[in-house]
Amino acid sequence: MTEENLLEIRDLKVHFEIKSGILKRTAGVVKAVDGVDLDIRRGEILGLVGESGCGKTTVGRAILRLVEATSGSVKFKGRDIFKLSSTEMKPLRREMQLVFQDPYSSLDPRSKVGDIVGEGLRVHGVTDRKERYRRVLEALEMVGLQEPHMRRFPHEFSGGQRQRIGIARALVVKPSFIVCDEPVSALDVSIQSQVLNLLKDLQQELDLTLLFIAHDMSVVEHLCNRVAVMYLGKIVEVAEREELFGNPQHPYTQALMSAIPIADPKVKRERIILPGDPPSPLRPPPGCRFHTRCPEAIDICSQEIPQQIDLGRQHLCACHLRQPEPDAVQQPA
Amino acid sequence: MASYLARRLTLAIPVLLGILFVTFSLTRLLPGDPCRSALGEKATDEICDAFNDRYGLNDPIYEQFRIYISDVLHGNLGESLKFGRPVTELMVERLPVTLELSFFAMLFAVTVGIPLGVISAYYHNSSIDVGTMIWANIGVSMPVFWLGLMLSYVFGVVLKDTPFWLPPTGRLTAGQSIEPFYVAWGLNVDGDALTLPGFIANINTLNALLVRDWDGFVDAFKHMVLPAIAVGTIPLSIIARMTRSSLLEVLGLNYIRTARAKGVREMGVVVKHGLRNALLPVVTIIGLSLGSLLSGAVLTETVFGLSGVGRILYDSITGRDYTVVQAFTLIIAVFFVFINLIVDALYAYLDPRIRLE
Amino acid sequence: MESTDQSPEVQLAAADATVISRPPKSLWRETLERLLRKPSAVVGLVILGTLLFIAIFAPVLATHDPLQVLLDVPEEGVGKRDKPCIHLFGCPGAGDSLFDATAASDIQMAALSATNSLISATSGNTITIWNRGSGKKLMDLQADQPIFAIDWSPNDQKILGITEDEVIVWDVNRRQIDRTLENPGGATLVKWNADGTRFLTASDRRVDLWDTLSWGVVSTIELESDLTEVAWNGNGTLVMTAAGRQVQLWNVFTGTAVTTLEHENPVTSARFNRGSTRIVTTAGTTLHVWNAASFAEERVIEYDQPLDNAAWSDDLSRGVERVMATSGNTGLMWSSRSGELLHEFDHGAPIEQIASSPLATRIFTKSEQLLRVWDATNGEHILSQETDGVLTSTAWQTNGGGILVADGDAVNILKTSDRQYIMGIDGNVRDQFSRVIYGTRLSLLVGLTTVTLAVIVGTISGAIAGFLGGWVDNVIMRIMDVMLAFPSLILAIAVVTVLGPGLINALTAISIVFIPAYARVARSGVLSVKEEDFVTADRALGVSQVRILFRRVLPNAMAPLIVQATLGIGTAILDAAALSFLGLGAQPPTPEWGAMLGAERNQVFTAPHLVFYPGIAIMITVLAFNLLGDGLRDALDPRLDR
Repeated sequence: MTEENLLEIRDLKVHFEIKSGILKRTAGVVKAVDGVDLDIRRGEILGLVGESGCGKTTVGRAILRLVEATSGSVKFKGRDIFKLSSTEMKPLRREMQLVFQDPYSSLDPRSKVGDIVGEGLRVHGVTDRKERYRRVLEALEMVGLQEPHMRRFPHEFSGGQRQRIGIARALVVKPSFIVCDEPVSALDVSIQSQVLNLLKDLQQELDLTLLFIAHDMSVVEHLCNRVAVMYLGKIVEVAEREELFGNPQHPYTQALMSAIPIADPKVKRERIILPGDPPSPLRPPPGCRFHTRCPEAIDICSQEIPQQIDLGRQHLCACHLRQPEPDAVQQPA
Repeated sequence: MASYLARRLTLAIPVLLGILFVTFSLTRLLPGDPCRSALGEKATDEICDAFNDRYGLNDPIYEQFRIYISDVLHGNLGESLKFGRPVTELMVERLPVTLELSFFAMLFAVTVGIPLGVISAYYHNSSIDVGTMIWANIGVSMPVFWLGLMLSYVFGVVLKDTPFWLPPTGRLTAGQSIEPFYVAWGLNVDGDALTLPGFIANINTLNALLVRDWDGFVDAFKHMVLPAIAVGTIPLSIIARMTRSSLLEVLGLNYIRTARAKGVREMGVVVKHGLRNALLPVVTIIGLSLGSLLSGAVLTETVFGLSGVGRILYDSITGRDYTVVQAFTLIIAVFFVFINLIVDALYAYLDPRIRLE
Repeated sequence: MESTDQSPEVQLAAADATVISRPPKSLWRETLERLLRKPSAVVGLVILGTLLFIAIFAPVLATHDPLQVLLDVPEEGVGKRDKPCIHLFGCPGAGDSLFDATAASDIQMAALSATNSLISATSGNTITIWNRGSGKKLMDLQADQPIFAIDWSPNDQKILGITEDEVIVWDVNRRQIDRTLENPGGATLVKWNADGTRFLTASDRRVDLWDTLSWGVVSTIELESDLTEVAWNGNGTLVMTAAGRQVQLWNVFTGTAVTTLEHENPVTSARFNRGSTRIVTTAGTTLHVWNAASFAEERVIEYDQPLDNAAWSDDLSRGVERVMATSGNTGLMWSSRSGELLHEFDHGAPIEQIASSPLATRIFTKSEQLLRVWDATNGEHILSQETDGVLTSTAWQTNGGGILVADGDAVNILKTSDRQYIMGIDGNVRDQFSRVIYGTRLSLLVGLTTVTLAVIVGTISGAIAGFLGGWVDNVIMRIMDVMLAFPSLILAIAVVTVLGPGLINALTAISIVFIPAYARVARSGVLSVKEEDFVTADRALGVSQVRILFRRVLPNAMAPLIVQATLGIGTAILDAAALSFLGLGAQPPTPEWGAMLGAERNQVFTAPHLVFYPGIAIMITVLAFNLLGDGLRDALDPRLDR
């Protein structure tokens, strides 16, 4: 199992302290990520979905050590990256890259595209200008841009083009793992498919592993091999794409599924409307974090935190209502 | 509100300490031996030892700082080398002039600046707007002392023998005097400049109002006009610009659009709905302008022959009277900090959101 | 959906091609273009460009050395703190009339009062007096008989006149006769001494000396031959007479001769120099220079023609000592030190008078109907003036620059120079215009250096505070808070008081005072840029902190700093001027605008132009930076572009 896992996340916690007053006392702790376990397999596209504010972006950044984790471990190719010094971390940074949600703020407006993309090469020891030029061009061509674009400034490009520049920046250092942080949610729907297809093609071509963070289930269904669902700092369900979409187990996942629009107007489906707003991560509810909004909540849900259990077919779910037997509960799709 | 104020006050304490440290170091950083610069080059070592002992200059530096702080807290700001009197006395004696000047300058700045800003915003992008803003720009670009000199020339010399003539120097016309109010009221008080009645009586316009001496009031007021315009022009320009830009920003908001859609008249929209909300930043600017007002007083009081606090500072600068400069710097900085506190409090009072912070 | 028919690659190529078809445009260029669309910013840029031009080419544009005291200024007709003449309004040039008046009848004699403020013309029984400045006629003074001669008292208060029977004293202030004295015997000449305590009256062979306490004759000098010259010495203790072959000096109190200077030929003229230290005389074909203290003959100059009209052209403060005389149509000038003939002035008509301007830079020669002005230094002809009538009086103004000319019934003052002082002359007799021009250099330099220093220190400390955060941030920003608690000018004053006055110290003080403003702006800029995704991208790539700060964060946080800095230059110039005004900044004679204002502040009622020009220069410079700063703010923040 560890052989095929590129990345193993164990009990990852990221807490932010809120300080106030002149003495900077800690007034509260935002538990953005509160105990996440997740494996990412070599060569797969793992979708991480959830509402905004549930901590999925923080997970992505903590993996890359862009946000310091409070506790837990992340093993990349078997090495616990939280225990590495910044110099030891540097070669690993080449292998793990990030594509951002906002194509407008993710490119330095004062640098030329060639410099933006080439920066990674410069950092990672490609000192020869010609070599750098060749590889930048290669990366740009991979995402469908051409040589003249290297001398342009980001603000001259459209959102989709910028996002492709962002992808080229990630690709140029030849990483094996890329965190895609909602790379298409800021784009027009017409552009989204271009970028998604590009990502998919590149993933296959370059044998990449992607962590694809999204809140749009249809995008995830289109792209991912496996999907993890997150709610308020915790993973509630992980499964293969077909399994999850065909047989969602967690009530939260079920509610998400019911919100996916279906292209056929004749198909009627019962929508599960969740009452209330997601609770504040500053004061998460005790027990199962979803119990305040769960249509099926029972007494135990507000008292005990549910553990992740294997429902079979590599389907993991954290819910008191679900039993380890694979066929115990069936929900209509 | 109270807790907000308390929080702001505690935040001001380190700043006040820092200010004390800066003013303290000012005199300690003076080049040369303090004893010999005070007593002359010929002072013998024994005399200097005694001098240093007396003023605690032999103590370790932190001890000197502690003594300085305790002196300041007891209201002892040192003695002027030139006048041989406590600096505080000198200041209190001269303060009425500066207060009067600052009051009229601010009055001028606010009463002219805000309407100018409103008109400018109301006729946005028209020639009135452009013209006003050009003048506001010129206003902030002028050296205060130069404006003062030119005003006194134009109104005092060029317009002599016309109804527009204004006295270019002094506080009262020679021969004119206003009876101190405590005399007119038959109060049996000490009219020394250092007592409260003396202090109030020294504010000519106020005193004239108290004793209903209209001629005296007009005369005192006329003498204040030119200095007030000179000192008030920069704040005026800043206030006008601030009012305009903040009003324009507010006028772009949705609730204004709603008011317009409801059919409120445009002037009503601007003044009733817009101005009230646009005034918040203007309040800050007014508070901050008091600082530039004081700097302006230093530069203009000499120009107009007013013997106020600024004049004292000017004389001390030219006469190398370090204690006065030090004390003045301290007082102004502390004053400035408290003005900022008051502005913050006012701001919090006007905008409840700030209290939560 | 037609677009789905095309392959995505084709679509991409089309969109990408449009990017390439446009010329590349950096953000800076776009900002500049936006800036140039703002009229106020363009105005600011134009002014700044002009100022920069002026600053660079100051030596070319300035008409004088800004520090040089203009020794010959009175010769140009512009005294200390005199009003400027601006070319646009048509300034009088050489040969133009500075004063023009007409008397009721033909003038026998015209004279300037001792301070040059009044002009009198005598014709018949009447003395007419005009104001030299305004050209207005002030009064007519009347006598019962024709007036032979008049003389102004040294304080302009009185006029002495002499008629057949009387010596008349007029009071000019009260416009009436002060007293009338009896003419002691055919006297036709009156002369005040230098301090107005005595005067003399002279007839052909007799000189009477009067006292103005008793208004009576103190002593009388009798001469053996006809008087050709009589004059007071500088302090009024001696009288010189020239008669026959003798020049004699008389003690005023005793009326006895102190010495006699003997000549071989009849003396044709005799003159004291300005300090009354020497006497020049002409007799026959020789010119003699005598020492007035030792009475020794210092020099004899031979010429091949008879000489007349001896005169001095000397300014001892500049070491200029020249003597002049005339011979027929020719004016002659020698050095009295070496006896060398310096210049010959060909007048073209018999010369009746040759006279030097008070500072010995120009001379004029006068014949019956022709006046010529020459440069005393190089002997060049400057101008000539022909008149219809006979020239009755010609005299230099004692403050130079003009010659009083009377012919027929007209009185004029002729300007003798083309030189202009565009903004006037300051209290130390320096050219204000040149000083203002050079002041541009200083002000721009002051503004740029202080702000550059403050920006560098402020940006680095603010950026470090913002980027590192934590206790570093706390310490740095608390220090800045304390500094911001002082109004900037007051703190600058305090700092300069400690450092001592001087331009460099003022610059240091202003820089220090400005640091917190930039630190704050830099910090907040860094704080906001730090969280941008492109910085995160760099961190994901493992770019070093230092490189991120300087290559990524700072350039992107620069915009508000640039705006602040541009506006700050204006404030810095204002503060520097204020410090100089208070005497804490640039020290005289440095041509700094604030210092110039400070030096002439007390003259605002009498010479407002000396205060006006430096002030307006400050204002224009500051305004330019403010306009540019405002424009930059709008250009860098498109949000405000409404």
